[in-house]
Amino acid sequence: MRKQTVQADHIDATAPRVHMTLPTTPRGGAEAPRHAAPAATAQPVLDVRHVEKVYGARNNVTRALADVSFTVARGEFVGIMGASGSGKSTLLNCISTIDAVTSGNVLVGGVDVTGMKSSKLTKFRREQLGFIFQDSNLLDTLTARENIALPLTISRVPAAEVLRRVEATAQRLSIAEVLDKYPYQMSGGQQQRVAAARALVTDPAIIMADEPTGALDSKNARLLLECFETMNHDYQATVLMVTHDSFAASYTHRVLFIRDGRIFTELRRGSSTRQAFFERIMEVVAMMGGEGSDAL
Amino acid sequence: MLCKLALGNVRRAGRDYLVYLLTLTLAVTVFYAFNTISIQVDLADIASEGLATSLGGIISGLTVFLAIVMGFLMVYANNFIMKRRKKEFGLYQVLGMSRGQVARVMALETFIVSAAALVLGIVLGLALSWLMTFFTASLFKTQIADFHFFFSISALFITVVCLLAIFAVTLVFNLRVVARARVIDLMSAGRQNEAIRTRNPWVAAAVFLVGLAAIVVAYVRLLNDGLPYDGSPEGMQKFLITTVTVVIGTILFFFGLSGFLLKALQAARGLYWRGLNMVTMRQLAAKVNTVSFSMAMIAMLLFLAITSVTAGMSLADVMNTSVERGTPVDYTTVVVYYSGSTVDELNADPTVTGGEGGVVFAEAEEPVDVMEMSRRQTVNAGTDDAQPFDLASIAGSSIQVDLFESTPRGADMPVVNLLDLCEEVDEELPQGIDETGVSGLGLTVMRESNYNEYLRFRGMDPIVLGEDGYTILSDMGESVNRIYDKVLGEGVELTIGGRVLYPVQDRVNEDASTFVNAMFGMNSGTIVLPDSLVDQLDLPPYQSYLMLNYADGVNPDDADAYIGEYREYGDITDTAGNLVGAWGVEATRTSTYESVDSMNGLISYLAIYIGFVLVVACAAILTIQQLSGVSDASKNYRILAELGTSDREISHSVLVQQTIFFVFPVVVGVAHSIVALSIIIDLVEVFGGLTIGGTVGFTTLIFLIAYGGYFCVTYLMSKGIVRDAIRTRHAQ
Repeated sequence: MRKQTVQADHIDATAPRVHMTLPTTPRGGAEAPRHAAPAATAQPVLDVRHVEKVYGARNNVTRALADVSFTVARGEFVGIMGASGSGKSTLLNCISTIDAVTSGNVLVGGVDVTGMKSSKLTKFRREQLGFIFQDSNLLDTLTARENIALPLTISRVPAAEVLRRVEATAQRLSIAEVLDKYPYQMSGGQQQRVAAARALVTDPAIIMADEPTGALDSKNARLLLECFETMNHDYQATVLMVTHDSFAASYTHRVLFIRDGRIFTELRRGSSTRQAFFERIMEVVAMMGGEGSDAL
Repeated sequence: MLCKLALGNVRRAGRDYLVYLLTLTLAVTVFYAFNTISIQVDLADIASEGLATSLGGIISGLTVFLAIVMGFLMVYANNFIMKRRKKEFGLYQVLGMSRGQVARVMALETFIVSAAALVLGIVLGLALSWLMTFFTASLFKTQIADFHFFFSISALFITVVCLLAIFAVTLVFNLRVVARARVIDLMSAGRQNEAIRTRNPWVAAAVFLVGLAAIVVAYVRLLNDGLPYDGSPEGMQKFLITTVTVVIGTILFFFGLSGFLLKALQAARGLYWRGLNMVTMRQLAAKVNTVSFSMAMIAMLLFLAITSVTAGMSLADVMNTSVERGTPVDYTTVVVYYSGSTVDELNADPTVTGGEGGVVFAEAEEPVDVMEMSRRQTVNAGTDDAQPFDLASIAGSSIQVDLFESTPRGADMPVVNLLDLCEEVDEELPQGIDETGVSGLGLTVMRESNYNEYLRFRGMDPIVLGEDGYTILSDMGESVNRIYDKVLGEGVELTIGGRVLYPVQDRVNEDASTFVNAMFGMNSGTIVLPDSLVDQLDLPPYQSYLMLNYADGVNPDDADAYIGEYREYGDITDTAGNLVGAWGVEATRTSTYESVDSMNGLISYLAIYIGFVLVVACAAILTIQQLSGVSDASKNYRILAELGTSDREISHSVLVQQTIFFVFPVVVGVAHSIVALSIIIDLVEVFGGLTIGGTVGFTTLIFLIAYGGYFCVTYLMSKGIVRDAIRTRHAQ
């Protein structure tokens, strides 16, 4: 039987998570320590266990991911770095249920997504995941307000609630003034921030960003990254960002480096400044790119 | 090499070409099948030979017109493909192919598809033409005596010529794309997003309301003014203004439609911010610039198709139902008497009279004996077999009906006329009858004794008028009978020849009003008066009808054949030898039935042909537009899928959009048709009452199959496009 996607209790479906529903009372900045990466608490929001992804037939096998395991704690801002072809996008696709793993498990909020049926996956994706892509992927026929509202209306949130949450999220990410513009009337940076708002507005368990700064100039890239910091800090949003830009990665709490489908190493920011973290990342990048550091 | 490339391209771009191929194939099928009409008519053993030729001629002429419609359609379908493939053609040039070579590849592709469509279309056309033979036979109410499969070279020829013309036009358009475009434009064509020009929804909603108002105004004007049958410049001008108003109104209606729907739905917040509703509305609004004009066009085309098919088939239906009443006897013939003015005109013309000592025309004093006069006709005149026409040899019972003019000799005005009667009962003149002409034209007059003879002959009860009674006869249907019925029903007193008369019946007896075999009612109004009054009025004869049934023992077919022989008509003279009249139309029951059947068939045939092609053309345009719209928007659907919308919801949104695109033109077209038909029916009623019944059901069925079929195909193909778009992302 096909599962009815209209669920009155959809907000409760995210119940296992502890933090409050967005953004009625955004938590003041003073309460949470700014750069302290939360220690892995009882249950990680993302748990990747021995994931393997193999493409191709018997004689022509490509191992895109080989035994990748890591966890992401609630409220963490994690970066994944790697050269093109390293498997970082495959990893993101496997976590975001867009692609299926060959073996291993991916648990989001304690729920194993690897065995889910596609109808269930759709609902899962809608309620637990937020996406931000390199190209903002906004619907060109909708205004910013409607674009941000879209995930909520799809989940059948009442209209008044939809409009209130969109407004509040937009205020928070400083895009209130573009709410009634169409994507083609906005700059690339504004589009990306609208996309970020759209990912955030449903209050998902984890937000996946795939090269979000890739198409932006440095000023807009910085604005977007600060926007991610806000999301992470003010809303305790858990963010997983794939990037090959060391500068972008320096905004995260922790960076996983991937090479040839394996986790090569991991850097934690700890209490160091962003500048210091950036230099440490650059060192690893230089070390990894033995054949030429421009590989990243 | 180029050939191989072209073939590969056609195979690869199969789906894009599918719509093109489908439409072209359908066009070829229809062209071929309908152009075999003359062969079908032959096979169906349809008696009237002129019909096959005239029908064939009309169809060929129509085919040219429809080929032009189809030509535009094909250019449109082709542009859809070209838009999709600009990048590819740019790539060829970047790789070093000359423009000429690219053009040749394209020409080859178009040729391959056209050739495929021709072969497919002819095969289907053959099958359709064979099937249609049976349909034709039933339309013309005949049996197929000797069916055999046939192939028409001339129909093939016409079809190929039309196809070649379409091919040539398409090719010119394609070559222009390649010749004009710069490589950089071609290469970036895929990425160049269609500029979304958003209009202020308030303005759009206002435009919609203005359009709606214009349509309503046009409806009211048409219902008040009617159609300009008389062709007077004033009437034509009014009609032209109405037409322009409805066209502009329709266009504005569709330009504002999506904006209006958007605003209306936005007003209902709970509905707008729910599920994909806002996406659906925005997608509609975004496409309005490209689509609204063709929606308006399609509404108008559908209006034409529905109106012509319904009116045509209803007219045929009317003839069918009235033919029984219209053929009271086996054979009728008419003598038409010369009026005073005609007599003077003819006598004044020496080329007619033959100068001094020639014939003399005169007004008849008394009706002539028609049976007697018919003996002066000659069968097989000019051959050795020549002999007098002997009606008596086949006649059983017969009756002569004499009608008189209502203007007495020496008077200017008729004693009774339709306009006066209308005023008496406060009714409008029937549509199509001009006021100025009718005041001089009276009803015809019949003697009571003659009418009672007629009634006895028809096996009906006689009537009694006494000295001050009258009644009215007519078989022209509701449009005039409503007036006569009211006159009789209200007991209107008429003063004729100083005598006050009262009606003896309370409504017109249509069944006892027919004097000739005919497809339509021919008696537009006859007043039956007491014999003494008719004598007193001194009225000139108007027409005499001879109604005759074949004698028992006479084979009706032989009798029909005898009447059908070539004849030379004799003079009609009074006792002094002056020419007093001319022979009118004669008709047998069989020939009337046949002409009704062929007229019937002809009208239905043309109506279906035109209607079918127009509907197919409309539906094909909508299909192409929708498919290109869906693939333009496929990125948006992919995003929706990524945001966690189920395929079912996306399909639903696509379905709603397409339903709006397909249904609104139909709604508007049908609304236009209903208004137009209500006027046309008024007009057709003059020919004997119109009933829109079963034929409409049949028409609707054909329409639904064609239009609905396209709608289903469109939706299913759109679903495929959307599914592919979603999967593309997933597979990345």
